[in-house]
Amino acid sequence: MKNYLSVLHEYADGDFSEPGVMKKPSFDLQRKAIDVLLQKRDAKQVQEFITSADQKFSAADFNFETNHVSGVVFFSAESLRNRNRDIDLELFNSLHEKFAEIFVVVESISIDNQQEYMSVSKRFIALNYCAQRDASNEWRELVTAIASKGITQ
Amino acid sequence: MNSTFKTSGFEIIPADDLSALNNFQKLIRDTSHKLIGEKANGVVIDDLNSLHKAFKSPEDANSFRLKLTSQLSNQVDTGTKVFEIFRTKLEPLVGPDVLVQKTPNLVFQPPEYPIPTELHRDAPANSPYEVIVWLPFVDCFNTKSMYVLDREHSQIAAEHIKQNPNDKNGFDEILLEHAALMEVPYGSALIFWSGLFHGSIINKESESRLSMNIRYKNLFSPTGLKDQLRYFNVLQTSQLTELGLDFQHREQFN
Repeated sequence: MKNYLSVLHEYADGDFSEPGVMKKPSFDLQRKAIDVLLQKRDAKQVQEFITSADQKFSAADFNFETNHVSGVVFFSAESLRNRNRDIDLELFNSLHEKFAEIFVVVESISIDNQQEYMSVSKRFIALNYCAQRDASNEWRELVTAIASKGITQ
Repeated sequence: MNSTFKTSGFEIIPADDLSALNNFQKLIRDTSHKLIGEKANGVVIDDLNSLHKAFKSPEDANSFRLKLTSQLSNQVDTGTKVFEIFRTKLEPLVGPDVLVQKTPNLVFQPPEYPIPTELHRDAPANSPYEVIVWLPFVDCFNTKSMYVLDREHSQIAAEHIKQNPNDKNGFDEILLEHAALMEVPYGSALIFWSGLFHGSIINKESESRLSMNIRYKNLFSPTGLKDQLRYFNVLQTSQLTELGLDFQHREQFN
């Protein structure tokens, strides 16, 4: 039987204001979702972490003997985001160096080989790039200019 | 792309690969009939048009829809299939780096089904850089279909709501005057921009409507409020994008 770490996320009020998402998931619900994944993989949880907007997961959290741990299961990619809401690529990379397997339940991410890791890592790079661009003044000015003058001018 | 998409925000497009669509339609018919425990009679579109006869209540019909959605997701990569079937129209719109909605929405509207799709528009909330593919598996016409407010009138309606948030009557007048029920024959899809108001009314025809809607956008286009990781998968990337992302990954970690 494999051993996994699990990571829950404590959502702040208002965090789940996204249309179509009615409420923030409780810890019980998160644990149940992670349990389903653990059962499918014939695995058990050996340690649980909880992240929040103020309490981020970090490489220091798994600075212990991890030889007997195969992977880490996140309930949500929220636990991987930094204060700017970007995915923390350094953390993600350090997780990959430490653990053979990484899962994120809500976002249906499943990494157990190098190809999957590269694919997800590149997706995160593109996502962060877009988020940073969309939040920039330069982008806002460009969109405004195109909307008023047309793209060819 | 010689089309009405840019001006109207929507277009009815024929399948590039009708044979693939027919196979997909047959899979849906076969899966549906397994779920309702009936034998298919051979003519696929007739079987789908008559699906309502298997259900006694709207709840039964909805339960069937949810089971069908789940079974299909186990059998087929719908996002890739639909993109392939309509590739020559979709790829020029979203580009070569494509994100696809993870779980397509299957909609079942039997005659007199009391829960049509309420009037809404996807963007804002969803990205205004998304295209929705509305794919019926039967011929859709009159009330069996859905309605769309074109780009110009969606903009007028949005402005009206902004200026007069409590004037529902005024908004309904715009809708009644300008919303058009789409005639979408089987073998075609309605593609529309996420900024258009759309919805459906109670199906007053004698046949069932079974349709699917799924969204596509460019990997690098702005995201809207919907979490891209949660709702979209990468369907394909260009060779150039692969090189660029690989380069950025090496720069960051090697």
